[in-house]
Amino acid sequence: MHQLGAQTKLLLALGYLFTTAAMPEKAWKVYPVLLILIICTAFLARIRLVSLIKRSLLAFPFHLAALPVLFTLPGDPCLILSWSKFSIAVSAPGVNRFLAIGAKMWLCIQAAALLTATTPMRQLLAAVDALRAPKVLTAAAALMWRYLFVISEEAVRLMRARSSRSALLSEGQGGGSIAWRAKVTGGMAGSLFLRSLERSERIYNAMQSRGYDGKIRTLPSTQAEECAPLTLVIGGFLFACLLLLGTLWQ
Amino acid sequence: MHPSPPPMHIPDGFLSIVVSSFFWAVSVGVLSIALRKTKRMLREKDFPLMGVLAAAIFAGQMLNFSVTGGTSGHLLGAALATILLGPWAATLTMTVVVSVQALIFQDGGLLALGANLFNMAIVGVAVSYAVYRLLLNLSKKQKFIPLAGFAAAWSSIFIASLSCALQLAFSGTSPAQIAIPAMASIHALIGIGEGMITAGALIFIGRARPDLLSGETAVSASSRGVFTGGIVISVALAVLSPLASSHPDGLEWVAEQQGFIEAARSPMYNLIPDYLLPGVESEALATILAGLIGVVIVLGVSIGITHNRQISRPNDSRL
Repeated sequence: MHQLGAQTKLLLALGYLFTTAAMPEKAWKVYPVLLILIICTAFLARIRLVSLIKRSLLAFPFHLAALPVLFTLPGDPCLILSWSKFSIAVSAPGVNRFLAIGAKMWLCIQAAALLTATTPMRQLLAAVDALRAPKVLTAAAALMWRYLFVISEEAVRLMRARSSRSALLSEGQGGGSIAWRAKVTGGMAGSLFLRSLERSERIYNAMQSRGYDGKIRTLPSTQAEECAPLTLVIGGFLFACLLLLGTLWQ
Repeated sequence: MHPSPPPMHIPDGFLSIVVSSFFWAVSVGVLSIALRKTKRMLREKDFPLMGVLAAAIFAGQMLNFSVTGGTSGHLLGAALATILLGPWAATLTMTVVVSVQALIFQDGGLLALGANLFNMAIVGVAVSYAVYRLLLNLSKKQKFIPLAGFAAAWSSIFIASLSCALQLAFSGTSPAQIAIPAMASIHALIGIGEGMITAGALIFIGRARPDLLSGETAVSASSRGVFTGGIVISVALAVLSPLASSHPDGLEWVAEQQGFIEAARSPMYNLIPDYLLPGVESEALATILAGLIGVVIVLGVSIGITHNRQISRPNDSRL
């Protein structure tokens, strides 16, 4: 799995996401098949399921946005919640859609997490590049990736400096008003921006002194490998079958 | 390393295929315009700048301050990027940030990326640019800049959340009449945090590098098109949202079934009852008028506040 070309993996992952998102809501018998696909891939790639699941839980707060659907989708009421004077009905199609959204989200996040766990960022960017994404954007993304950790550490240092200067006394409140705290944080954000700005000027000077002419060159090893057409065809066929199955077998 | 996910990154599975492909098309179209514009306007050295500032925005999203009871104010950075880089370069920078968040950190889905780009890189940037320019046209004074930045940041978050709620509503994921008021009120609060941090950052930058904020930067040199676009987006979303959320559907059906429709008519919108204006016959027209009045009120309040601040502190040379 780790040896497979980045472009192939990206296309397969996108196909999987598309299949999952397009799956009809009531195709509950197909969702386990989709989950088995994820588990098999994770097993082949020797990625621990626990870490995958931990990562996939990250987006679950967003599931709250789908909560009202429980009550608003017209259909047979299957549960009536009463609270003093008020009562509200949970409809069966609402429950179905709520669960389907959750399942789809969970599967999609795991697929995307598998893609990034098996593909280094450089290869992934090269694959995006090979799919004709604008060079300006991929070059900026590569630079961003290169300096993300440097600048994140700078942000962590700023936060450490703030917390070491704002000790909480045992009695009373630490820190000033909310506006004051926001202003301090704003100052941190501003100084992070200025430092990055100055860093980018230094980077540009360094690039120029090495003969930068507006083009980013990468080592041949990081360029996208050959796309594996056979794997892609098999994958596409599998996804099409699953979609068909989901539509017919509800 | 990883910032807590801001509630505006839509994961995959939430948007219908139609909605996500529509917003992919829109975002790709706008991005290609942005690429053409920046190719003409940006200098060679601006390209490393975009990459490094994208990293700075990503890292800046880690910065937070505690508000109360475990909640905290965050920075999303669209407004700050717009003010410092100008709208087109900011759109590209935010595109890089949002795409890498989706691709590497699963913060927002890949199929939903088109919609997320539309909300954060296009709507967020265009709205903050329009508001910032609009307010700066009132006064060119240096100390006015943080206030304009606050208004720009707040409106960018607020309008982007309306767009996000509408996308969810069109996908049938979350009913409009609940999603829109809920998203709008949550993000009206989040926007305050964003606005305060943005204003603080602008105060700092105004002291340390005033040249970056002076009139002749990328912000003022940019085209009228973005300005008009931002205004149009703000007004359109402010008008469209109450229109969508006043549309009677699901909830009222269930409510009627359960016979608590009378109890549900709570006095939530006393000022403009049910988002409609008394005395106007057509329901749609009345809703649009009510939405417009809302926009005018918000604009009026922000202009009024900034105007007052200007008058009351004429000799204050700090800030």
